[in-house]
Amino acid sequence: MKEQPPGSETALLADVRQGSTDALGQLYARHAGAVYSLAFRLTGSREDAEDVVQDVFVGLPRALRAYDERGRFGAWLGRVAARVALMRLRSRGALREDALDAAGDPAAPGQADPVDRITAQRALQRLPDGLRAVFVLKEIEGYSHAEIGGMLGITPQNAAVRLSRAWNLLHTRAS
Amino acid sequence: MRAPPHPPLDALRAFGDDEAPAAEARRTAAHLAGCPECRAHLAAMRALRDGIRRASTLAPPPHTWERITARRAAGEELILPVSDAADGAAAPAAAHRFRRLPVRRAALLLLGVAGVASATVPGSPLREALRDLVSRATGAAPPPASPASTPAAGTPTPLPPPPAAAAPPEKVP
Repeated sequence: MKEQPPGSETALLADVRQGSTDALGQLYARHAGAVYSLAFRLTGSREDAEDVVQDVFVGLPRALRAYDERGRFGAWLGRVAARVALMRLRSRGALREDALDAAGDPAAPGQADPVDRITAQRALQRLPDGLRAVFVLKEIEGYSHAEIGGMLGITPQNAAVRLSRAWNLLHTRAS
Repeated sequence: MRAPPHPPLDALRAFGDDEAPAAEARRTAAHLAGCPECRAHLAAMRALRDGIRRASTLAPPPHTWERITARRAAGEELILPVSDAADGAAAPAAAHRFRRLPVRRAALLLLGVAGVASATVPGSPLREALRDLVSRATGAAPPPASPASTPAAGTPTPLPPPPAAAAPPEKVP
């Protein structure tokens, strides 16, 4: 078997599989920020995002048994984290079709400029959960409609419709 | 001559993401060339998306790692959804339906199904009891056993009824 240099991601993954907390800590240092950011964008809640990070890294040693190390580990981890976040949204009924009509608070005056990063993030947070999830997965994470459909349990066509509705809401508020 | 209608927002988005079919992309590009309003819309959409993409990576609260190690030290293990099939996305509705089915209704349903199934088995205690009940209620002699209750050659022989079912029926006052 090929020897991996200490500290390489492959070596860390092997150590995590063996139950090493130190190796898990190094993976956490490398990836927790990305997992947290993705979870926050998907759930719109810092508390939920922290719970997602905790769940992902508590379950990671076991989950790595299913990781075949094809492709980037960060991409695989992001996909797992997205599913954990979506499960959390689903558990509170936020992804149901009838929950998508809750448009959230109307845009406050002075928040119409979409160029500003904070304003853009706020506009995203005001989307209904089910629309925000599709928007983040498609426009930020780059998943296809088919992949999003698989993750959300909806058809690719429905994912496209939700993306269109998300854009319409964002556009309406920004204009 | 009237100006052509503005393309729908979805067509602008698809054009901006290079996802529009070739014919639609040509139409949208031609429209954009002469429509400053739609160019502004497209620029605003791109700015919004890029603004969200550029948003800096957030850091989880400092205590998060301590909580993870505490949960692991307590022996907690989680099964993460490592594939779409595993996260319940494909069948959440079915899972929820099952959980929501009241236990009493589920038990009654199960008993009903078992009862009907049992009553159709030739020679089964339930079937015999039903025959007796009908004959007592109508005062008629018990109907002869249907041909189906006599196992034909080559068919599985049903188990003999238990002693209680074989006992003579109680007298009806």
